[in-house]
Amino acid sequence: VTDRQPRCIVVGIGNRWRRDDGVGPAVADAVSRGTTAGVAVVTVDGEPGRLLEHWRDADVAVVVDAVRTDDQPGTVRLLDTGQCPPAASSSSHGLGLVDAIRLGRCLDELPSRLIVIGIVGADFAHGRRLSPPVAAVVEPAARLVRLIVERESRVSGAPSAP
Amino acid sequence: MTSGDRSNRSLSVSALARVEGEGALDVEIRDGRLHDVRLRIYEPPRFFEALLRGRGFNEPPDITARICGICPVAYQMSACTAIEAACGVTVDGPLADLRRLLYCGEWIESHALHIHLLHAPDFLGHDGVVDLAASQPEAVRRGLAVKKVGNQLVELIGGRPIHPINVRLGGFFRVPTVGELQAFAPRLHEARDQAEAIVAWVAGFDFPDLTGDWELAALRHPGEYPIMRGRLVTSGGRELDADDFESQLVETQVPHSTALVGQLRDGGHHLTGALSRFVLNADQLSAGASAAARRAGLGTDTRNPFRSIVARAVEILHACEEALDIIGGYVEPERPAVQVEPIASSGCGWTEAPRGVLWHRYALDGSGTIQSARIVPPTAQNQPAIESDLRRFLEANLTAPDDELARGAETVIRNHDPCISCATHFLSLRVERR
Repeated sequence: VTDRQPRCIVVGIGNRWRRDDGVGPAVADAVSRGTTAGVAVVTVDGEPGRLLEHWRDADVAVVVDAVRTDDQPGTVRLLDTGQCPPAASSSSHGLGLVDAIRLGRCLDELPSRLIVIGIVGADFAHGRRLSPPVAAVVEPAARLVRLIVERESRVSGAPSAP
Repeated sequence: MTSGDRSNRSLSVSALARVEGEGALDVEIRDGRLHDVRLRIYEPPRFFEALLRGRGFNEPPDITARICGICPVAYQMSACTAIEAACGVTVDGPLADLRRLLYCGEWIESHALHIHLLHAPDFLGHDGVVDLAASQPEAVRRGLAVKKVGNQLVELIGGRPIHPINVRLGGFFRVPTVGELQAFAPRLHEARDQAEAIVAWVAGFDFPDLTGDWELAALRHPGEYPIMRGRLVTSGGRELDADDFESQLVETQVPHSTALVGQLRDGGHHLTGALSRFVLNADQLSAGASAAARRAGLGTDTRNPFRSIVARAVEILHACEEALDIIGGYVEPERPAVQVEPIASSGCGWTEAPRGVLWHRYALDGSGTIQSARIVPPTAQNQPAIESDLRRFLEANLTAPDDELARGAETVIRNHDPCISCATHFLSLRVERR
């Protein structure tokens, strides 16, 4: 038992102006509409330094990011952060989530529990609107995030989202 | 990717990493001699100048900030100064100090990012910041801590760390209280001490020999290190006002780039950015930054582009000290902004973005509708200088293995912290040996 309040954070990564790349922030928005106090919800561009700043003091971090794979657009996957592939980021700095995880591991600045949810995107062109298959999974992905937060909070004693 | 025998080969870096934006480099070697170097910029053009036409005169600070996530303040400040010039307004006193303070935050975060996440790994034999963090975790932690202070300073004045929302023509929507700024000072003191250590750290790197043949260009204003204002001065003896710049700059389109390439008229390539600012304004550095530069052996005769990383570190220290100086003398202004009324006119403005001089021009009608806009970012100006550095470096190292050549070439490019996104620019290496 500890007096310290465990911290839980939900991080939506992406650029809202590059269509499906904005699905991370869109899911974060959906999560924040129902989140109780004690669970922070932030959106970031994926720059590793800023990611580390957000999650370094967290007990539980749930990160949502768009991914490119051969899967159907809109597929939602829980990614294994222990087996990150080589960085293949579309970040303007050539650095992104994978680098942030590897960097955090080197600097001992990862949260106690890091869960990454990848949502397969179809269209990363300029524009604000998510493609239909990706837009359709925003609310289900947000429900998944809330379930994970609730489960992990029970495990760690962190406050839970509804 | 490489092909060909030793005397005829082509080297291709098809997607340059650790630069801001997307680009590539093609190198062609024929009969053992360097035949061609092309910095290919394939990031799609974004047409900001066209989309600004017909918009309101108060919109460019927010619209142009979207050109870059690393230096949005630079775009906001250059847009404000150009439009205010068109409207006959000068912002001075505490509001000008606050703008400078905001800009210091951007310099700190941008330079700290470039040094630690992008450039330092080159000098220490690492593939990237992750490997650097594995071998020198404390150096990376220190860099990220300084970068965070820069982000926080931008957030304090600008409302958020990226694409600030508190900037408007004439000043700000809200100005901070004296107490808010004073409460921030301890973080800057800590960052200042860390910046001093960063200068010493990068000064100890092993720098390859290379002498640039560029004309150095930077703003210069009496009594201050150039950030927000000044005339453009060059190592070639030119002095230009912002209004003269357009007539003295020649922009050309090259087939391998989606960015316009800018050069000063009747001259070779000029170089803008941290090294130029330092060489042309070293006498105006803060006391601590000046002393640190001396200890680092960085003099005004420096022409080795690899040592630009030291100039960048010195500027972090200067920005921390200048920010503390501004906070120490801050008096809350009576109003958060001065009134700016549109008039049918045209105005030019420039400031020193982390990567160099960023020039804007706007023509307005009497209602404040933008009739035309033109933006010249630093990377577009630096592209010929970067290609010149590449030629000189490659010619001196033609017998090196391709992977070594590619790595060296990428470092040469990173020396100037190019922002392809700003210039609609940047990078991947292809060497052809035939």
